Formats: sequence, structure tokens, C-alpha cells
Amino acid sequence: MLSINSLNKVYSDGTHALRDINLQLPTGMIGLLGPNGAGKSTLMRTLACLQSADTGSVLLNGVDITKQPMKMRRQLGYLPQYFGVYPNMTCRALLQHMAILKGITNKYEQSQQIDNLLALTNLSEVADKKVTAFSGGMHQRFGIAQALLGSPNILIMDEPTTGLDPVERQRLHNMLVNISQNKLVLLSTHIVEDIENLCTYAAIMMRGEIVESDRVDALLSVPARNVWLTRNKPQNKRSILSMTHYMGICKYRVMSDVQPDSSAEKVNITLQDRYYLELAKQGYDNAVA
Amino acid sequence: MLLLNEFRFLFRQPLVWLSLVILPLFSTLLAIGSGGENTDSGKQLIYLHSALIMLAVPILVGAISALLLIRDNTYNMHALVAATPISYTKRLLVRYSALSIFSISMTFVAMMLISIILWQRTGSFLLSTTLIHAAVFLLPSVLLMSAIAIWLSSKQYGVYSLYAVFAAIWLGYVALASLSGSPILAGSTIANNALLSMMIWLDPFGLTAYLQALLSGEHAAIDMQVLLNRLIILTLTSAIIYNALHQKTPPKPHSNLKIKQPQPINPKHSSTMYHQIGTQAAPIQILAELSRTALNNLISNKLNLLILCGWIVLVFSEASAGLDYAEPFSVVQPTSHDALNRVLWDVVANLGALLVLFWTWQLAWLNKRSQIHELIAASPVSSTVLVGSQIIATTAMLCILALATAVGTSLAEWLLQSEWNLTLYLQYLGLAFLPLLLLAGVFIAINTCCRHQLLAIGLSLFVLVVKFTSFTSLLGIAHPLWNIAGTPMVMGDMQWGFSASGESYIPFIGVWLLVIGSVMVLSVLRSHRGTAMIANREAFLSSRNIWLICFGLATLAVTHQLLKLQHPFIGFSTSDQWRAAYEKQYSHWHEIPQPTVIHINANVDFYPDDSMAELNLDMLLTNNTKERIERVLVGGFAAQDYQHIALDDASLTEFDEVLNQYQFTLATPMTEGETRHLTVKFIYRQPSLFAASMHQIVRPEFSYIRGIPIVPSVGFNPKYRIRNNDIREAHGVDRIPSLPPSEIFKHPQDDVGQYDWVTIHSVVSTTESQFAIAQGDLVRQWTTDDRAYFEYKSSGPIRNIPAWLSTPNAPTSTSVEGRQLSVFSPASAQIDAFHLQAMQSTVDWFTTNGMTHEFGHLNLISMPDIGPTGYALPGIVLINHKVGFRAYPNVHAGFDQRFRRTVHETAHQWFGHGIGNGVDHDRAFLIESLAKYIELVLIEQAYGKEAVTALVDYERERFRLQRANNQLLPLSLIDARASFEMYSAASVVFDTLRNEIGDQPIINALNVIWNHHKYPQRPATSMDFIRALKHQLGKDWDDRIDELFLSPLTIDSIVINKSSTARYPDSFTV
Repeated sequence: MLSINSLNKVYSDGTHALRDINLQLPTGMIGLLGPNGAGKSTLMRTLACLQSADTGSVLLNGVDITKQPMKMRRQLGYLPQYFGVYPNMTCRALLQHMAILKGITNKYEQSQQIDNLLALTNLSEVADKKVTAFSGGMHQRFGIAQALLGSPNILIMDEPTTGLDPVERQRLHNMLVNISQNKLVLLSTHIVEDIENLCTYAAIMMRGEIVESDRVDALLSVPARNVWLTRNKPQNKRSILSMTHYMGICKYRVMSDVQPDSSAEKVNITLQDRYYLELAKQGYDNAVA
Repeated sequence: MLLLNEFRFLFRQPLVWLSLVILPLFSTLLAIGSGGENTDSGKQLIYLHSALIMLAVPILVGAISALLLIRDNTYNMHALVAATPISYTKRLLVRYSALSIFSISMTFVAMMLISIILWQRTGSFLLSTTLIHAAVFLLPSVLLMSAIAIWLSSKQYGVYSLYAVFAAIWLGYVALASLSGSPILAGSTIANNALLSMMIWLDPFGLTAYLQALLSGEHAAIDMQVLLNRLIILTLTSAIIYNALHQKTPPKPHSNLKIKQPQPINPKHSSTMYHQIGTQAAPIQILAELSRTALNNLISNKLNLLILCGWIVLVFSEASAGLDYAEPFSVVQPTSHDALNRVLWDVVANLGALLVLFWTWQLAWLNKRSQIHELIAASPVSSTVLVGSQIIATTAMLCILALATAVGTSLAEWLLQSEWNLTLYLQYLGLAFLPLLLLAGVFIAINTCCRHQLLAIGLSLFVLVVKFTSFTSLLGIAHPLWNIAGTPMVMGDMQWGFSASGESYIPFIGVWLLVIGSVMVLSVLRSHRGTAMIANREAFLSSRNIWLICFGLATLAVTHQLLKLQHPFIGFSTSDQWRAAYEKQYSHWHEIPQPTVIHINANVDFYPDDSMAELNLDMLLTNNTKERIERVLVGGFAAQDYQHIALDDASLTEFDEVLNQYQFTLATPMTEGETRHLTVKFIYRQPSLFAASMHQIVRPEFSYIRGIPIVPSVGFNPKYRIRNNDIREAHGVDRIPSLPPSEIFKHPQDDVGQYDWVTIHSVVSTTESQFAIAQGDLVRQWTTDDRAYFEYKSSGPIRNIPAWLSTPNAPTSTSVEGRQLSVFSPASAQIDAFHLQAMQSTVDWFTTNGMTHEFGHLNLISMPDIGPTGYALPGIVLINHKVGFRAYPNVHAGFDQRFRRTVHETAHQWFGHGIGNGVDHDRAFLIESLAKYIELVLIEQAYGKEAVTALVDYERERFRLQRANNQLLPLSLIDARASFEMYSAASVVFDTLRNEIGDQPIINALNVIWNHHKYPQRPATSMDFIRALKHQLGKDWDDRIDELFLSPLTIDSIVINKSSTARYPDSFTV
């Protein structure tokens, strides 16, 4: 559906934010993983036609949206990582405002869709309150509602679950799975588990480059390697994928062909393991003391 | 360390770097733009430093304090900063110190720059004065302003509120200083003594107490009043800081996201599914929605509401203050013309432009400020619609502003029982607000394509600087097109409406529509869609953009060429350049004998409806020298085009197209007394792209053509030279020694100059419904082919300033001893008769006192508001319609200003066009100061002594204020150059003299110089009058006469009236 070809972007301070990005994004949910500063937001903003790349093209069903951004905007629902709202506007008024901007001018359709989205995001009861007075979670739910206005074919969501409580987070997951049947939903998040649970495809981005991209199940099949969970710190620090705590007790996830110690138990590989493996490969610190 | 930390923060802020450039630039412009020859450098330094402190400090402190003190809340850093182990008090004090130190340092550098520039100009470096100014005025002022800033920040006021407070301080101080008679601000008067006293003690800058001495004619000094004021200000500063530091409750952070209890999940919605609904593009509805939201945001902004309410108050106050004012002692029955003229062309034009800048900036960055920019930018709304919504919202705001203006002026009109006229309101408001809308287009375009807010503001402010200040003139590139989005439109009046400039309005609006339109299209193509990020990869110099740029530039280039055709001195070509080139190339002709003009035979045809006139002149030249004349130089000023120019018995041997000079070689040289005819034919066409100005105007309501400078002159014309010596030097021509007349003519001499007088015969035609006027007696008038003809003939030589007029107003005439006096005005016959009476009284006085002058008929014509309020030509007097024909005395006036004005201008037939001409190095004493004397005599004759006292008291006060305001060294009455010296001081001096010696010795002295120096004798000098007066009074009075006429006119000598101890005998002889 979306074809990204040789996308490059260098900021004026010399930061190479995008390095020769090439991706084919089909319909369905696609996760974008990467550490802070990897270039995820730059890529998402570029795909949302909010900023331009220095070179490269982005084809939406064959149309280069870097040259014809309106083609993208007409089908896009976008939720940035951070956003604000106009003062003195109620939730419904602001959704109405956004609906009109998205071309939903028929009053009946407008009202129906807004009511639907308010219900979907659990904002119906506060629809007539000012958005500036919303809590963090409500603010985020408003963002999700506005992104869904107009039934976009492409949804780009940068950290959509930020500030949501577990139930709201689950509700969003359900909704995304529901709507992604015939749409492209590009999801960026630090919660790797979310991507593993929701996405069919994922791409890992580091230092402006796509270091891995494939179906999630393919990313999980690391050949001839096993993942172990142990309480003992292995001698070979390079084999440690991650260090976690459970009830205050330190636990290590270790990638090794052989059992690192007798207490180590073999566990299924997760996307997070794969992500940490890529971090280690790229020389990132994986916070193992 | 903490302080350094603040400076580390400061010097990373673009606004700080911007102020590092702007403040020194502002001080340099202040210093360069003032002073000149004969300037009192000490006084100038005081004025410049005071102006800098009062104008720059509030703005600098306001701008930097918003950055330094409110940054935690602005950038959501409050929690992080508040969590650091630095107490609130300490943090506030450190920031206060940083703000004060930075502002003091910056302003001090600017003050030093001024001192250095004056040092270069005058040769004296006033370092100690600069240091004293910095210590006594700058330091406490900045400490107070910074204290106000930290107090506001401690009370959790936002950036806008802080800006609003400092803007109010800035504007409020200027208003209060003006009302307390600050000599720095032109036109300021002491409105209320209580206010003045309050300002002396409480002036935050301490300038009122400091500058008071100048109003009394003394030197400014740091006296006890100044020190007490500074002490009060420092105490107040301490109190404000104490209050800011000792709050009962600690400050809370501002946050956009107020944390509230999360809403409970409503289970019934949990199963709600998402359904797709199709979308359709509807640009008009989207545009309407965006515009509505934008307008709502502007209107719901409390600061904007405050501004709009304040606007009504400001307009009301400005319109009502002096709505019926004509001039001192004189009022008019006000109309909507007067009310709208009082506000539209300065308050609305200037402050309106600032508001437009503010609103367009608010609109452009609204989404970014609300952090909703990415949502909006990602929506399928074209950039054109986004920009269109800003245009619509700004238009709506301007309509609201126009309505607020109308409410303010209408209230003022209602209060003063003015004649309210709806049609005039629609016309005036439309004319004044359309340029503001175009200016809004410029600002919207800048904000649309500029990704940095600060850069966008900087560029927009630069547009305002170029538009409203003399910045381009200082750079020597003055041009009408620097008035960006503006037109040459000038205020209308009741005699001819907008006839002065109305024709130029549509062409300029059209040009700006094309230029700004192409800039806006370009900006839409380069739009960042409110995100401050690039959303367009198209190269700036793409073919589409190049076409747009070329279109805009071509429109400007064509306009420039059209303007150049109508006015040669625009852009890099200036009048001074032409004058300097003329002098360099032709000054040697001053030594070559040349014939003089002795008679002009003129055929002038006015076509007022076509804004043109045809002139056919036959000038008789004679050789008044003893030498043979072989070559004759005939030249016009600048680019006046002559269709035909020929000299009898001569061939054109050289034509200088650039300087418009013709050199003829005579076939037979002219010997002494021989004559030749010089014939010239040309058309004067009223420039349609410039506002009409004195002294060439051809319009249906009023036509007036003065021969100078469009009629060619013979030989080198020294009047074409640059007069200002600094400008002369800048253009590479030698300085002209500027010795005062009191020195040059100290001793009697014969070679002082010669009269340039001619006889004139004119046949003037105009449209049948109009009356044509020229100098001399009207000898015949007839009508042929729907045109009216008037033949005028001077009975003897008159000063060579030919002039021809055409007016739709019929004359009201009277005859005095064979001299016909006429008034041409649209006013009632009663008012015309009043002027005739004043003219007659003046003529009678001169005749009675033995000063006969044969200049023929005297015509007084009402002229529209086009510059001077009165102007006299030989045989012709022009008086402004408002002051001369609409005005009448106010209830406190003991006399009628119309009478005084007509007497003054009529007196110029003797003083100015009788004597007072022909001497190059004399100044205006024999012209203006003697006319002021005649005013006193005739006002006393008509209205009594009390009226004279009232007038003199007014002139004394006017002198005091203007002397205090003026930075030039004081001159004597004989050497006077400034109007307050040659007019106001003259009234006071002659009143004093009349009180001491009576009128007869003065009249005798006038008689002497009139009879000994009238044409064709040797012209009179001002010192001839002094000698004649001294001769009348005897040696005992020499010192007193020197004291009154030859000593510098100071506040001490004029305002503190000193009477002589000498006694004058009761009888005297001529």
C-alpha cells in the first residue's frame, strides 16, 4: 500500500535522521520499534507529509506523496506523540472542527461519527467539557478520536498508548485490531509487547536506519539460538539480552545455544528479546549493570 | 555561578541577539537623525539619552523579562526547576540581577554610541555627562522596570500580560510626559500643573525633574528634585521586590494539562465498534470553519478584547481632543471630516499596522502555540485554504476595528455636536482600512513561509520600519514604494475632499494587490502549514516560483518607471544630487555676463478637469551689464519638459538633457541695454501618482501654478544650490560661508544684491464656470468657445514670482483708492467681507504711513489644506480654507485670528514683496518679523490693547516651549532661522519695544528703509532697519536695540520680560 524508497533526511545541525529508508508497508498493523532518537518520529512525520525528506520518495498506491501530499492527507488519520488543543473549545466542538477539516461536512454524518467516536473513546460524558481541562488519558483519547475521524485508510500513531490506563490501553488495542483489517495502521511505541501482540509486521529502526523489518513471526524465529531466564548473571555479558526485576529479584534473559547455568530455564523468544538483540548488535547500552 | 548560568541561558536566545543588533541600531539612528549645524551638543546629548532611556528601557526590559522570568511556565519546566535545591527567593533574585545587569549594559552601550557619534560630529566627548546619565537615570529606571517584571512573574502573569503591562508603561509614559510638557516630545504642553508636580516626584525615569530646567531656559542639572525623585524610585523598587519575594503562597505552575480524576469507563460503550464513513472535500465549508475558529480565537483572547475596548477609548480621546480646534484662539463647527481626519491617518494607520502585525502573528502561530499544528497540518486541507482562513479572520478583525473606530469618533462627534455624516464614514474608513488589509497580506505571507517565529516577527517589524520611518531616506533611497501596501492618500478637507491624492489611490492599491498577491501565492507554495517544518521539497527557484517572483518584480519595476516619469527624484536620484551636479557643472556661469528678464508676456490655459495647463511665455531679456553677451544659459529645474524654447537671434548650441540646461549662442552679441525675446512653451500636467503639493496644482476645485521653479531661469540660478552645508559636503560641493546677516551687514554697504523685478502681462483662460487670477490689474475678461478669458497687466514692475490661478469661486470685491481688493472663497459673503476689511485696514495703514506700493490688484484666495496655512505672492494671498474661512474666534479670544492672518499676509506685499527681497544673505527679519509687528499694530487698532497682550502671551509661551524643545544654539532676531524665533520672538520683542518707545519711531524707521531702499534702489537689509531705528532713538538706545534685536533669543530674554531702564523722549523728529 505504501512504498518508501531511499528516504533520507539530514537536519541543519547535522543529525542524519533518516538513512536510506526502504520499506514496503502493506495493509494491516505495522509496528515501528527503536530507541529514542532513532528517527521514528521523523519518519512518521515525513509519511504524514508534515516535513519533507531530502531525497527519496513515498508512493501511496503508486502516487508519490512527497509531491502530492494532499493524496495522503485525504486518507490519513494522524496522532502525534505530543499535541495540544485550542483553548476554550469543548471536546465535541473540537472534534467537529477537525471533522470539517477532514471533509466531513454533512451535519448528520458529522454528528453520527463524532458520537460514535466519543463512545468508542469513552469521552461521551465529557463531550461538552473543554479539552484543555482534560486529564492526560482523556487528552490522549481525544487525540485517538480525532485521528479516527473520517475513516482514514492510513493511520499513523506515534506512542498512542501514552498516558492510558490498562483498560483504556486494552480498549485501544481492540479497536486497532478491529479497524486494521483493510487499512494500514503504522504504530510507533516503546512498549514492544504491544507490537508483538497487535502487529503483523514490524520494523526496527536505529540511528536513522531500518535494521530489521519483516513479519513479526519471522522476526521471532532466530535460527539455532535459545533464550534462557536465569537469576544468575552469566560470565559472558554479551549473551545477556536484558535484565529485569520480579518482586525485587534480578532476572536475566540470556541468548545462548547451551543452558547458561543449572537454574536457567528455557523460555520462548519474544519481540523484546529480538529488539534487545538488535540493540546489542548496534552497540547500544542494554542497561545491564 | 547562578548568575553566569542565567547569562548562559540568555545568550542562547535569538531575541537577545536581536536586541544586541536593534538597540545599537536604534541609538545610532537617533544620533544620526538629529542635530546639524549650530547645534548645542550638550543639550542634544541630554535629549538623545533621555529619548533612548524613555523609549528603549521599557521595551528592552519587557522583552527580556518575558524570556528570563516566565520561561519555566512557558516551556513546562516549572516542575523540574522548582525541584532543584535553590530557594524561590534566591532564584528570583538571581534572575532579577541578570535582567537588570543585561538591560543596563545594553542601554549603556547604546548611550555610549550616541556620545561617540556626537563626539565625531562636534569634537567634544561628553563622557562624564554620559556616566552621570547612566548612574542617575538609567540605573534606577532599569532596576524599577525589572522589579515590576519580577513582581508580575511572581504573581504568575503570563507572557501576554507582561507584554501588555510593559506596552502600557511605554505608551502611558509617553502620554504623561507629553501632558507634562516634556521638551523631548514635540507638541507637548503642560496640561495640568498637578500632573507636572506628580511627574517631578514620581517620574520613573526621573526625566521630568531633570528637563524642567530647560523649560526655564536654564541648563539641565542634577538638583535636589532629581535626587529626591531617584530616591523615591529606588524606595519603590525595593518595596516591589520585597512584595514579590514575600508571597503568602508559593507560585504554582501553569499547565496546559490539568490533571483531574480519570473518567470511569462506561461499560455500555465498551462494545461500540468503529464504522467507516466516507468523506468528501468541501473547501468552502472548510474555509468557513477554519475562519470561524480563527476569528473565535482572536475575539475570545482577553488581550484582544482589551485592545478593542481600549481602541474605542483611544479614538474617542484623540477625536474629541481638539475636534473643533482650528488654531490658537480659533475654532470651527466640526464635521465628520474633522473627526475622521484626527484619527485615521496617524492613529489608525500606525497603531492599526501594529495591530495587524499582532493579529496575523497570533493567527499564523495559533496551531503551533496550541500544539495542535500537526493535527491540522496532517488534515486534507490545502495550504491555500489555511492561508485563506487567516485572510478572512484578519479581514473580520479589521472590520471590527473599523467599527470600533467609527464608534469612538461618533461618540466624540456626538459630544461636541458635530455634523455626523454616514457617507463620509463609509468613504473614509474604506480608504483607510484597505491598505491595512493589504499590509495584513504581507504579514500573513511572511508568517506562512517563515519557519522561525522570531524571524517572522523580525521581518514583519522590518517591513514596518521601512514603511513608517525615515530609514530609507537616511540611506538615500527614498521611494514611494517603500510605503509598503500604502498609497499617497492624504487627508481630505472640506474644500476639495480627496482631490489632492484621490487619483493615486486606485493605481497604488492595484499595484499592491498584484505584488502582495504574488507574494502570497509564493508563500502558499512554500507554506509550512503552521508546523514550522518544511513541507515542500520544491526548490525555491523552481520555474513556478521564478515566474511569481518575476511577476512581482516586474510590477514594481513598471510602477517605478511610471513614478519616475512623473517625479524625477525617487530612489537613488535625489533632488540634492541634481542640485550638486548643477552647481558643479554650471556655477562658472555666475561669472559670465547674462541678460535679465524684465517683462513676461504669458498665455496660460487651465484645463482643470483634465488636470493640466498649457503655458506660453514670451520673456523679454535685456543686457543690464556693460559687457557684450555672446552666450546665454537657460535652464529649468530638474526634468521640467519644454516643448519649445527659443531665443531671438540665437542658436541652441548645447542641451544638457540630464540637468535640463540649454546653452544659446547669439548670432549678434547683446550690448548694454539691448533686448531679446525668449519664448517658452510647455504643459504642466498634475502628477496622478503623487499627492498634489505646493506650488503647482491643477484640479477642478483649485488650480495654482507658481512660475518658480517650472519657468526656466536665465543664467546660473544660485537658488538651485543645496543650502545645508552638511549635505553640500556629503555631495562634494564646498560649504557656503554662513555668516549671520548681523555680521555681513554690520556696516552700511552698497553691494548687497539686486532686485529681480519684472512687469507681467497675462492672458489666462479656464473653463467657463471658473475664474482665472494673475498678478496685476484685471483689464479685460471675455468668453470664447466655452472658455473664460481674463487679461491681467501689472502697472509697474513687481517681484519676479509669476503665478496663475483658476478657482470655481466667484470674487467678492471692494476698491480702495483705485486698488481693487478681491476674495475668492466658497465661504459666505459675510466672511469674504471680513477679509476684505482686514486687507483694507492693512493697505490703509501702509498708505497712511507713507509706504506706497504699486503692485496692482490684491486677490485673496481660499486654498485647500495642502501645507501652509497662509502664503503670499506679489498681488496674491492664499489662505487655508479651514483657518481662514471655516474658523471663528473661541469664547476666550479677544480678537479674530482670521483678521490677524489676513493682515499678516497682506503686509507681505510690503515686507517680503516690497522690501525684504534681493539680498541673498539676509534672513527673514524684514519679511516675517516685520509682518508680526504690523499684526500687533492692527490688532490693537481693531481689538484694543488686551487682545495684543493675549496674543503676545501666547507667542511668549510658544517660544518658551519650542526654545526648550530645540537643540540649535539660540540666534538673535535679525539672524533668526527657526519659525519660533522669527515669528513668536518677533511678536514679543516688538511688543516690548512698542511699550517702551511707542509706534512712531518704529514707523519712522520703516519709512526710512522703505523710501531709501524700495525698487529700483539698493535693496534693504535687516541691519538697515536697525541702523534706521537707532538713528530715530539716539545713542542712548543703542544698547537696548542691540539687546532686543542682536542678542541671542533665550527663554531668559523673551519669557522673563525685561523692561529697559532708559527713558524715551515724548517727541522726536524724523
